[in-house]
Amino acid sequence: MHEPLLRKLIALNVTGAGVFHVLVAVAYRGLDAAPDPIPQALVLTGIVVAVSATALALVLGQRLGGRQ
Amino acid sequence: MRVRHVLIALALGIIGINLGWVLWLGVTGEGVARLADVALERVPESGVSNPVTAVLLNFRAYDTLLELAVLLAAILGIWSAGPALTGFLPGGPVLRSLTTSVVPLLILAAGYMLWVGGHAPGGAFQAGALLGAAGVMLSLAGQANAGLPSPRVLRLAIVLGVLVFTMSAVVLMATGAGFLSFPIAIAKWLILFIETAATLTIGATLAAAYLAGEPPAQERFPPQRGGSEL
Repeated sequence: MHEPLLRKLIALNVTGAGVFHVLVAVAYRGLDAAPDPIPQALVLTGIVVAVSATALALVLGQRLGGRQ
Repeated sequence: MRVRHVLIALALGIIGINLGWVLWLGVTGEGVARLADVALERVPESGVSNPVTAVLLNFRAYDTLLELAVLLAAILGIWSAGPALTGFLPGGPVLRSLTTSVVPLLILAAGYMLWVGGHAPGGAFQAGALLGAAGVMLSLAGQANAGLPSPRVLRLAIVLGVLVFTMSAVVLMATGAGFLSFPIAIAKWLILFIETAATLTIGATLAAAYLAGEPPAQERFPPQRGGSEL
C-alpha cells in the first residue's frame, strides 16, 4: 500500500468523522424539542458514501502499489 | 515560494472563517425557518413514524437513491481493478465456531433493524452495515467469497437497491403520483419494500468491497459447515 495515500485516506476519514459529529450536534434543538432529522439523515447518507469512497481508494492504492 | 505559502495560509484562513460563520449561523440562527419544523410536521404523511427514516426514504428519497448509485459505482470500480486478492487463511476452530454462531445473529439483528426503522432508530443502512459486518467476519475466518452468493446472484444483489428504487419511482410516475412521491395509503409498504432491497444491496456491497476485487466464482476454502449465505 502506497504510504502517503494511506495517510491521506486516514486524514480524510478523521476529517469526515469530525464533520459527521458536528452535523449530529447541530441537530440538537433543546431538551424539549425533537432533534432535527435532516442533518441526521444527511450523516447516515454521508457515512455510506465515505465508506464506499474509502474502499475504492484503498483498492486503487493497493493496485497502484503493485504489491499484494 | 514564500508568497505561495502565505497565499495558501490566507485562503485556508478565509475558508475556515467562512465555515465557522456558517456553523455559528446554523446553530444560533433565530428567526430563520428550519427545515426540522417542516419535516417533523409532515412525518405523519410519510408512512413511517421515525422522522429520520421519513426524511431518508420519503422527503429526501433522491439522496438515498443517489447514495445507492454511489455504492454501485464504487463496487464497479473495485471490481474493474481485478479479481479479489487471496483470502485469509482458514481460521482456527474457535474463530470458526464463533463465526457460525455470530453470523446468524447478525443476520437476525439486521432483519430487526430493518423492521424497527419504521418507528425507532434503525433502518436500511444500519441493517446493511450489520450484513456487511457478517461478510467481513466470514472473510476473516477464511471464506474466500465472504459468504456472498454465486456471481450471478451477487450481481443481482448489487443492483437490487437501485433497480427496486428506480422501478418503484417510475411505476409511481406512470400511475400519476409523481417520481418518488409515495401515496400515503401505500407509503409504509413501499418504504419497507425499498428498504429491504436497499439492505440486501448495502450488505452485499460492503462485504464485496472488503474483498478488494471481484470475488472468485468458486470458493477457495470450502466452508466447514453452514453460514455460507448472506
